Amino acid sequence: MTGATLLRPDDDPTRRTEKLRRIAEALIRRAEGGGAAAEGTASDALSGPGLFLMAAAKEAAAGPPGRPASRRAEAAPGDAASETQAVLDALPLGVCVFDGARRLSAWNRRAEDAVAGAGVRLTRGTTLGALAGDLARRRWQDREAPRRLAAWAAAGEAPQGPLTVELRDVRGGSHDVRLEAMPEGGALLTFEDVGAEREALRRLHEVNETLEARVLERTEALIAARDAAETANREKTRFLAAAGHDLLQPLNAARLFLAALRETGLDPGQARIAERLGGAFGSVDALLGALLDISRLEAGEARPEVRTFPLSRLFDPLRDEFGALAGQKGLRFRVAPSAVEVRSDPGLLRRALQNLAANAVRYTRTGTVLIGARRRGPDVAIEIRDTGPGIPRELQRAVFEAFRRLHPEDPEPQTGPGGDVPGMGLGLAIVERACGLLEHRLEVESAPGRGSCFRVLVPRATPGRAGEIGAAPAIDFDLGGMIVLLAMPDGETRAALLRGLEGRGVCPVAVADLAGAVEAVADLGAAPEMILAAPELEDASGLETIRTLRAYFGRSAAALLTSDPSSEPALGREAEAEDVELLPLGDDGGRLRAALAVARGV
Amino acid sequence: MSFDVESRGEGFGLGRAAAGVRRAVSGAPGARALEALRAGLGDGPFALVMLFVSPDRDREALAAALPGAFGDAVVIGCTTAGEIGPEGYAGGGIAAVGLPRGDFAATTRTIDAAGGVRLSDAAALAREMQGELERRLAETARPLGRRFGLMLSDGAAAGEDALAFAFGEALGPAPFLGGSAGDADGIGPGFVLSGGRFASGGATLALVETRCRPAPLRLDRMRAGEPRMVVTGADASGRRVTELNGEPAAEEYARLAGLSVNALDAAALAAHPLAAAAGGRLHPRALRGADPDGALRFAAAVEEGMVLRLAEPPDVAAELEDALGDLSRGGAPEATLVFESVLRRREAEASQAAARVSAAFAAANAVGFTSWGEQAARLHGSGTLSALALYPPEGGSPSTPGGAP
Repeated sequence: MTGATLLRPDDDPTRRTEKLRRIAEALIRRAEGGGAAAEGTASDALSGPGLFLMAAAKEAAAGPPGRPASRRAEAAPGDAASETQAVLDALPLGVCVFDGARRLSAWNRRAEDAVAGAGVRLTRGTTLGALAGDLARRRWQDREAPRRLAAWAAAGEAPQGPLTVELRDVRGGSHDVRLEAMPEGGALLTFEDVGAEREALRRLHEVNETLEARVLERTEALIAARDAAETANREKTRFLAAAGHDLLQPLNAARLFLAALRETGLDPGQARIAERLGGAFGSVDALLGALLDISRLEAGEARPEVRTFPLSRLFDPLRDEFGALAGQKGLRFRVAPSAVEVRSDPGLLRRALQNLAANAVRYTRTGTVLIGARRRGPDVAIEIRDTGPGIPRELQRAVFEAFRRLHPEDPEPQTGPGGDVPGMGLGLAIVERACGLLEHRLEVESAPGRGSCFRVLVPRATPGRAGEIGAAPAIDFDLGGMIVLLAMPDGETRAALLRGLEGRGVCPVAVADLAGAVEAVADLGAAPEMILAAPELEDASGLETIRTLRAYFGRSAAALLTSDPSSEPALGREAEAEDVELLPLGDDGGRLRAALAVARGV
Repeated sequence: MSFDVESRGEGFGLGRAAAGVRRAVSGAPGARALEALRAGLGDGPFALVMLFVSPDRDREALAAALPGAFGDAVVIGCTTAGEIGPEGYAGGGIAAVGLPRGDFAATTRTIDAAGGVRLSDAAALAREMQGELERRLAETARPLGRRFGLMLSDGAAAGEDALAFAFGEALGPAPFLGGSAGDADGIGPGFVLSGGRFASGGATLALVETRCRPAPLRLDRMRAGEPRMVVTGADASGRRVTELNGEPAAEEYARLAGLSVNALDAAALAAHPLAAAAGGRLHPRALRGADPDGALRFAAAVEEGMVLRLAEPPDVAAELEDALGDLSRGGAPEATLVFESVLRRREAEASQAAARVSAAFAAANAVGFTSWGEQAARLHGSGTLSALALYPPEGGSPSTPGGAP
């Protein structure tokens, strides 16, 4: 028999322990009463069950009545006491029962095992106090637990609640031990083996750890895969850019030849064909230009140069460029004058606005195209409104995808002013990438038949900052998490720099030489946001180091740190030629901070 | 129905036919049943007549018709969960046995056991009855030689443990046996007939001296399985177990027996009997049923800490054929008084063995009833069979069978 049949498979540990305790108590109570019934004399004190036990014992002693038992039936051995012992031994917990005089009257094998770890043996008649005292004198991993048992036992029959302690023996066994008073003045001592439980917990912990390691491993693999994908994407973009350039050259040559051809006195039919040929070449030219724009934007080569400038610098040319075209189509085209100053890259923002304006003019048949700016919180919302066909809500995301046109049959392919894209659907793709690069929010509000409003949110320049184009930021910017490679021989200067950088929330990676730098950046899996290098490293110069890292990992902002930049004009020129700043060491760090902020793009 | 008795009595007796133990069973309706039984038992005179009455019968009418029906014989009896007559299992009728005055002398007492019976009271009753029987035999100067004790009790009243123990002790080597009355469902109380009326909550005892050689038989061996249940909650006086293994009793029993707790009917209980260890072996513990509160009602003593084991149902027919065959080896007993547990009868019926059991009973000249508790020597058990074979006296009947006390 296994103890499991006494319990239900779905019992939770608390319920299990409670049931085992009830079972043990019931067994013990009967073992004590039953012993009296089997050995004592019959009296009125004996209940029916007691009489049954006594009668059975007497009948067994008298032998079977009349005749032996039928040969077909089989007697199962066992009297009440041995049956009780069988159940006790099968209990999945150790049990020691102390009678009314607190003497050990019954126990099971598991109880023996539980105390054997400390070298204690169980003997009938031992008092609870003696046993607990004996346990307290033995070696345990934690001496406090057995002492508390002994204290409980020493309190005698004074009413006290149950006591639960964990006994950990020196052999590694572990038991939850519970000591409690029984109704008749006795006591029940139970041992629950929790060694396996602790072991299971330990294993679980181990599994967790290996799980973490596996997750880490997997994450690294994913990062590698991501890096590979990014590399592939960069390759593709570079290829596109190169191919674009190579295509543009023969195209330009073709246009030149075509222009020359037109000068040769063509008849009207030939002239018409040459005209159309010129138009077609123009379209190809614009298309290739757009493709190159997109590839540059995606490659991240078009690094935004954020500065403060008045919006009118963009609005005025837009009015000139598109006013005439809109007038040709019979549209009203208005650009609301604006005196506001914004912080953005004027070139990229202009590209975005041009494409939005071109789109608006192209797709609007009648009515008005309106460009204006209004304040919205810390930003300026630049709006391009039209009375065109509008965009259904479900397509408002899709229009930003490259080569997507909403009304392909609608406009004639034509080259617009400002190099905007003929109807290949590249215009909005360029807008989206430019705004993404500038971190300008791009919104669209439109409904079919009600026109569209594209909106670009550009940070408004703080008053008083106007004209500070390119000036170093005067306040501390958030550099949190910025990854900076510090290539510098180990020493106090480097340590001080590291402390300073860490103090600003930067995550600096310090290396001593070019080899270390390459290794570190390869580990990072991405180009650092900025490279700070000493002019001379052990295995290369600072500039060589920067050049190498840029060549392998992409274009990071970079600076050479030297104690006195003004004393090294040659190095300064060389650095400037490679877009590397020369920064002074040892000042209050203001220029370094400014350079980091600019690199971060804040 | 009485043909068997008459043919034996008149046709094959060796001069003591009229004095032999007489048995009869009748399923006749109403008052005609009593007529048939009187005809079947013959004129007697009888020292003691026992009637085992189906709970379907009108007890009031029967009691009213009893005075003088069997002469001046003392009549005791009880209700049944089925009768055992000359042809074996019967039901819905009345089985009767008459102990003729020539070979038997009896003294009877009735005790109210509704609130339980104290052992000292039971022992005092045994001593009193022994004294009275001895006085009467001394008056007639006619010692008969052998003694046995009989008890018929209400199985729902729970006094059997003390009574069996006291009488078993008092009788020493002389057999003591009895059966506890209850209806077939095990729900209602049993009614005991004595002093001309039926009553529940009590027991009637008979102390018998006879010239016949009595041989007791007890069938109570169990082959127990491994699943054990520890009684963790019990109402001992009501023989109710509220909790097994710390769970509601009926639920836990059903779980271990592989039954649905809603399907604990008579057949299921018989197919999954329980046993408890005592005196070095297992004793059957018959379940009467499950109460609506989830407790289990037993037909014998239970208490907290008792270990119950699921047991295999006995092979009732084979066991009986063996045992009764052994009893008849030197010639069939003149009669065999049988108190057999309703669980055994249900198992026999469920295993298509009822006809074999009936045949074995008939061959052993059995008479008795299907019971909710059986007493044998000092033990009150349940789920067992307790019987007493009565062999013809050596040297035949006395010449004056009708000798008045």
